Amino acid sequence: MDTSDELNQIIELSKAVLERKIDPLKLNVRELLEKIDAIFPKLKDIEEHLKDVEAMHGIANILHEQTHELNYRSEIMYLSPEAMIEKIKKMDPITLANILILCLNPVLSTSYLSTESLLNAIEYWYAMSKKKEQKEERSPNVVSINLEELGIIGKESLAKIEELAKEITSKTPINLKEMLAGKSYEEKIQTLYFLAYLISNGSFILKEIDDEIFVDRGKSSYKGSIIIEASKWAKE
Amino acid sequence: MGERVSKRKATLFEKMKKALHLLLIQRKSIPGATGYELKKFAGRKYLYVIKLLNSELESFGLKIKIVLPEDTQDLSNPSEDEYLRARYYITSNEPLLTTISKGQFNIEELACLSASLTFIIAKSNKANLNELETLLETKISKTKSKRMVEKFRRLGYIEIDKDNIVKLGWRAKAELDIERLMKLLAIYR
Repeated sequence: MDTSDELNQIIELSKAVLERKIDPLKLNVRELLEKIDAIFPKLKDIEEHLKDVEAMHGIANILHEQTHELNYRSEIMYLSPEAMIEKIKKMDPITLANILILCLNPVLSTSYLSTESLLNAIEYWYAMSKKKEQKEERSPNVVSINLEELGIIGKESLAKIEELAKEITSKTPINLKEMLAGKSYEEKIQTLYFLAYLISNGSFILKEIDDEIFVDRGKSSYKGSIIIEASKWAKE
Repeated sequence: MGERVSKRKATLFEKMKKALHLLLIQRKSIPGATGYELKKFAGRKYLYVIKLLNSELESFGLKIKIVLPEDTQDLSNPSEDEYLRARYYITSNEPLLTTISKGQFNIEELACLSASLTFIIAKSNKANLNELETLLETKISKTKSKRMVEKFRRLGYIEIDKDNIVKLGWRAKAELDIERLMKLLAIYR
């Protein structure tokens, strides 16, 4: 391994210890120091020397973390950390909660508003400038479509839905763009409306393949009405 | 002589009152007071005033908890500077088991808090945030675990630094009896 790579390895190790991804007590600092000792004569340029310094600093951090770990464990713990973590994983929530309740002595505090601070606040309120009037909210541009004019509602609609279902079945999987190609705006709206009905019914599903939407046979696990953005698909 | 003693008692009582107000009334985001603040309002012998106040509060089931700074060399014999930098809180003497109010957590949140605090202690007060969330996700959903962690951080039970290292927060240090928690966990089967 390259000297630079070895030094990088030690530096990454010390960073992992600081980020608590590795238990510091599992590392052998003596071995790391011997490694650096062996690398030192092979260092060529200033960059490698700087990395060497960084690696030494990293080892110092590892030692510091080891000291902290040992102090903490010797002061407080009656169990090993691994045994403690296994225990809390196995305990049921009620027992965990009860144990915590037995160990919590809540802090008492209260808030207080003095007359002086209230008077200062009133003065500040009068000194505050008025908020600028809010701009009128623009209402969304809603276009209403008369379904009767489009010929969607009525007995004819069921026949049209069946016709569309047969057309899709014979050509599946069919690209939605191709399906709508060559139709007028009203026809596109009608097709999309019937298609949404068929998909909600569970006859067909929509699939995305290479950023294109396809209609295919199958039953969707989604339950409820399907919404297709007509403004996007019905553009002339 | 008698007059001098009674005058001294009155002064001491005034100082105790000031210290009590300072500890009880929350002025910043964290309740309680630092040693510097207590020294300013209760005088140089603020530790003696705190000791007297503590003995008075004991009859009401309360006590003054002193949380020393993290870099304290000897916890059993802190220096004057360490006492000045410490935080002082009024806490209950014993866990409030018979309180009527439910508290701010439901049973699930309490269990998650218990698991989180134990995990942080098991990692010597420096746990990785992702590991903590993974632990909570063994029992609750991902979104819930993130929400819980944020709630605990907001309330002061945990602290999260910029490197995503989780430590015990100011509230956990003030309220939690760590030794008791460890003993209970050790004896639980």
